[in-house]
Amino acid sequence: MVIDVPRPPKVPELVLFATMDQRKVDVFVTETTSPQEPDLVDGIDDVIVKIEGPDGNIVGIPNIQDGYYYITFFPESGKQYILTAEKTGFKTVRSTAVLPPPVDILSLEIELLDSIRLDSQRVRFFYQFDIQLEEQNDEIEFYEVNSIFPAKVLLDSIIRDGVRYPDILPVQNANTIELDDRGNFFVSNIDSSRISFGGAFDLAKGEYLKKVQIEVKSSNAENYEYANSLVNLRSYNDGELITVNPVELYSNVENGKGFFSGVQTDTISKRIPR
Amino acid sequence: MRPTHLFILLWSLFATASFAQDKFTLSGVLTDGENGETLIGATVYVAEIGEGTTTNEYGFYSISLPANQPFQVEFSYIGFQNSTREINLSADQKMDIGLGEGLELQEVVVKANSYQEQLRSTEMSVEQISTKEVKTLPSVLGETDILKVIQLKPGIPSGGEGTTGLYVRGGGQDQNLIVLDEAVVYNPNHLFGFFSTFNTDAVKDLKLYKGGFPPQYGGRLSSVIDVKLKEGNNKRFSGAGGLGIISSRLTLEGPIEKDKSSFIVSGRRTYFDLITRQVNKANEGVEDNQPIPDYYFYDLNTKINFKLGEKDHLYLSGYFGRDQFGFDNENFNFGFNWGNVTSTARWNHQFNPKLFSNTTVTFSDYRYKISNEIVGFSFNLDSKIRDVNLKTDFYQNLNSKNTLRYGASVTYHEFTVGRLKAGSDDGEISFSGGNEYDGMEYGVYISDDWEASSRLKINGGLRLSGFSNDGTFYYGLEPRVAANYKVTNSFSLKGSYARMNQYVHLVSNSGLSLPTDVWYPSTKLVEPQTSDQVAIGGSSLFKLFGTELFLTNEYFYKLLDKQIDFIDGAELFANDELEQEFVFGDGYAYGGEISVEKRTGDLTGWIGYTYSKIRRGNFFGPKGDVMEGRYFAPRYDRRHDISVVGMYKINERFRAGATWVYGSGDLSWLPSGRFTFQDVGGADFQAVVPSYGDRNTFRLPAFHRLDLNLIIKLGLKKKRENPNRRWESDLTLSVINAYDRRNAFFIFLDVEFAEGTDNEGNLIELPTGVTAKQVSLFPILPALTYNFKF
Repeated sequence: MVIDVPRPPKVPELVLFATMDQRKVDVFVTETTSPQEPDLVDGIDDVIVKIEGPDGNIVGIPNIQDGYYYITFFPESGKQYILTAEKTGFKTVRSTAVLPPPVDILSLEIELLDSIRLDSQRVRFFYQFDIQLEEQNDEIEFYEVNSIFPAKVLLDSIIRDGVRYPDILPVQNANTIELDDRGNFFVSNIDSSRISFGGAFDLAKGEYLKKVQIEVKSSNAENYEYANSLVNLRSYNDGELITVNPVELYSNVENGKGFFSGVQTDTISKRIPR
Repeated sequence: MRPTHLFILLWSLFATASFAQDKFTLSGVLTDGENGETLIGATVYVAEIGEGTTTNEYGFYSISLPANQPFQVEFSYIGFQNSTREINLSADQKMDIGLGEGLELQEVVVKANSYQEQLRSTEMSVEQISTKEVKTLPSVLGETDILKVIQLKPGIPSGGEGTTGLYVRGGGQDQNLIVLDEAVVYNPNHLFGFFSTFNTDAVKDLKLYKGGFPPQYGGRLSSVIDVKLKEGNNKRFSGAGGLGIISSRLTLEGPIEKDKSSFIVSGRRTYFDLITRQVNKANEGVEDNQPIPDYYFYDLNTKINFKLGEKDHLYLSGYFGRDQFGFDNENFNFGFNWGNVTSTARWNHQFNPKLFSNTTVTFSDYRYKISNEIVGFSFNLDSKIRDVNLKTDFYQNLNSKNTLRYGASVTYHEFTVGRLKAGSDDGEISFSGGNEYDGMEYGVYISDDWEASSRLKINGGLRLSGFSNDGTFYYGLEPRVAANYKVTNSFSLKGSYARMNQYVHLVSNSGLSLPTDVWYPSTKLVEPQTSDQVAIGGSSLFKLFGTELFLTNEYFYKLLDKQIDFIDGAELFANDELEQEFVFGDGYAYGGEISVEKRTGDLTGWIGYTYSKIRRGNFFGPKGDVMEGRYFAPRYDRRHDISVVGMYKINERFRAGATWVYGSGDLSWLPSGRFTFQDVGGADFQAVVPSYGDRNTFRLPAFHRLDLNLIIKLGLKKKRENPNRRWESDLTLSVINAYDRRNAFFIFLDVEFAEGTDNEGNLIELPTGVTAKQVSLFPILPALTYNFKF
């Protein structure tokens, strides 16, 4: 006996997702809708979006289209920046983020560990990745590691503060969330200038992996909270996660929802010999 | 305390034997004259001097009376005929009394002194129910349930429809100490909370304390539910049972040696699985057939007791219960079972007419296990808690004004939390997890029931409790005090204060009382929970339109500290680092309870109303503050609770019962909005993200339900023709939810999807919205049960 439960409508809030890196600020602005409404709102335009630096200098971020706002911007490492968005009919939202120190990748080593035949058409290859960074930097709390190419890869947790957080996976690329079907996790290397992880790629029989492109971002504890909440939210929506309280996407936006993050990124590509 | 009273107290405590000879002591055990069962809380009253006492949990009483003077001593207990004896003590005297049963519950005239004991007693915040009352009230699917019926009393709201989770005066469901013959029962639920583990046929008495906790009880913050099993008829062999639509039960009891030893065995089992197996068998080979999973539960209570001379009595009892849920076919095998085992060995010894002791050794075990086998792979998850407890209690009638109670207990706890074993049959894949803990819990207490004056009675005590686990040691003092001031013969005022410590905690996956909830010890990180509760109230006896009514009202305020909650997105299932998911905070609760009872006449029953408000918050955890300074209402913060209970004897053959309950809806934390997720890093798809406001701000619709039953006595003509005929039977027709109210069992969120395409043009399902759906449990539900006894 399932009965719909009517819920009272909520006053809409602004939602913004923004990323600041060493060269730009990307912002997407939307709004919340009531659960009763059948249609969602995509990005909204004509929002006054500004960023304020540590020196008090305020810069407006132009609206591109469909809720996207973008500006070329060169923030300083370790400094706090304040992002605001305002539009008539909504409370002004505000969020802060700090740009973490830069990350420099020196080298990437890849070693084929194993392969298994998934079926008559596909083979899964397991690789060990070792990324050597230029130097150890105690100011960097976390690294996020993503595979840009190929897009689908299995990754494990890479946390650099001496504490291993189980099950955290970098989520910048939504397709990276999977578990190794053999139940094995590759243990991260806690040497802070070196990032080691395991990855697997599924290829058609007869193909082989020709190149990889890996992206590493310096990150912080708040980005980790956000990434973890996104992983949990997806699992919760899929019915895979049993939790006590509902899972909410982590937000650092006052008077609204969303997330403003600061990261610095470096990428490295490597050809893989057959 | 005035100096005069303090002096009198000290003087009476150190009184010499020569002074005590102005009085002698009458002591003994009160029993049911028909079957020898001890009577708990029976009244022993001497009207001439206005003094009295009640029997303790073992039926023992002791009263000091002036020497060499005649008195009429009246022994009474509800449902029984009073017995009056003329007593003239020239020495200490032992007198065991067997009371005869009253004709019918409603026909017994409850003498004024039965209410007088309630008006005189320092006990407050206590609810008691007899199995006779339970059997006249409506029951779900014909299964009478004493724990469900006690929830009809004010101040004891249930967790909701279909659950036996108890949330007493703002406390969580792990804050209730439930003991069966003094052994702890960790999960008192069958069938996910539809029924309790207490077989009404085997239970003699159930007493629930909501506050004013006597010092002999400790270890939980919010309530004590003390369930006593029957001892077994020591006069003659007898039995009782019932055949219902989902289960049957049978109880056999009798003397091993008449008046000296007896046994009782009581069991029940559901048989729904026998029907579903036949259905599955008949449908084998049918296309798209979905076999019905097996489910059944059973439980068994056993007890024997031996009277070893005039001063000693030995009792041995045990409980074994199990729920089994499973699914089995050639490719897939799933099993889920859980249950309790308890056993008790108890020795009563009477040192002298004034000193009685009880020494008990108990064993408790609660465990659940989930097992799953699929071709080539198996998965097993289990958790358990196991206790061994030794305790001793002394009751000492110091003099006519003071009754001392003191004792000590020690419990060894063993916890297995989330033990996981999984792997492939060939051994290539295997993983395991889980943690084991143990701990020792201690308690020592003393209390004095002091009759300060003819109007004022005070029970003051102190408990010292402690817990040790892996090098961590916690302890705490727990003062307890309760007072009763008799304003007039029909009106009294009461007040109490109690501090409680709790060293074991229930980690719950949901707001429901599920068998997968695990018990967790206090550790270095997880400190003991504490509570301080103050209660005031009054009781009065009055007449309305010529009908005698008993009114009780109480008001309480409770402070709670070190309450456990969870971080957002906490994963409790098979998590080796569970403590990282905890946060700790405080809370408070306050409210009032009123009840009016009618116990005489053809129509009996009560009306109860509870108002309460509960808050939790100010949480912090291993990763910092979660809710500093902020409070929220927990799910079970129900503002209003009403229960109306009536039992009516229509005539000799027909008896009716009805209950109507109303409660404010539970609170739920539902999304109050949603938005499109767009990760600026370039995620390939959009997702709908729910947006939540403050916790638990959505109140579900109010819960209310009317249950009815009709008992039809059978064989009356044969009984009239042969009064010695022992076989008695009845048919009980129950209708649960008589006006088909669809109350909320739980709320779930349903994600709606629409077809769309990804960037590569592949068809995918896009989530477009989230709706909240309510699941209701009971429609109108009739049941028929055949009951018998001999």
